[in-house]
Amino acid sequence: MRKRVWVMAVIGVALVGGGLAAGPAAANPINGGAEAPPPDVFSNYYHPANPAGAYPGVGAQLYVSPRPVPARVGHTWITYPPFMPHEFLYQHRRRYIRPAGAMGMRNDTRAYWW
Amino acid sequence: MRTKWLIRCGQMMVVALLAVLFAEVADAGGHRAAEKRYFLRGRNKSWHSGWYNPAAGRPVPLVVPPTAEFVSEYSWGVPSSRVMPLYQQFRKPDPGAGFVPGSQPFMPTPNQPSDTVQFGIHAIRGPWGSY
Repeated sequence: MRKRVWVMAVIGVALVGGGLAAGPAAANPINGGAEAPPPDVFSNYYHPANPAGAYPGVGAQLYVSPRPVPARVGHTWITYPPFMPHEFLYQHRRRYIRPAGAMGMRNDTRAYWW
Repeated sequence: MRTKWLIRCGQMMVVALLAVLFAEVADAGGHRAAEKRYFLRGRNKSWHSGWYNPAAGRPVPLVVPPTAEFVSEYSWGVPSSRVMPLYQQFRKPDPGAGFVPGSQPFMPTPNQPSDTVQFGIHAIRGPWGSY
């Protein structure tokens, strides 16, 4: 009897542990440092132009470049996203994972800001 | 005896299920939910006021960390300070038009400002990442 209770307790703990472990697997990549898609280096950060009451609305962009241009026009891009100044505004970490070579290797770069 | 054992098993299963549910709810109420709430609340709000910065000729955004939640504004009189939620954040896709006309023109900072909003410098949270 006591043994069965212990078995059920172990099963319960395993269930709870599984539920807790399932959370970080789906965590936000910016928080958990999980795998994330390649960053888009060809676009800026914006805030839309919403009118402030009766006053006109102006948009805002975070950096002076890159600017939205047609694909066949000369353009600029962010050469190294981890060095963008806004990354240094708060403590976090991230993993940049890229396919490397033709043999299925992966390049795993861990970046820390603190 | 067997009935008591079944009841005990049922109790433990209920406790385990409740624990899993609680863990999932705690996870759902974490970072993502707060971000979604801030995004939804700041969707149709302007990041600036009716005043512009005379040095720049337009409202000037002040980039603050994305972990910031509130912004303090000070003024003469009562109340002499306000703590306002800061929903605005820089995001990736280009929103399109950078100017939406209004019925009144912007006002410059008065000679004797009575509120920090009148300086035309407004905080926007920086983006979370490079995605």
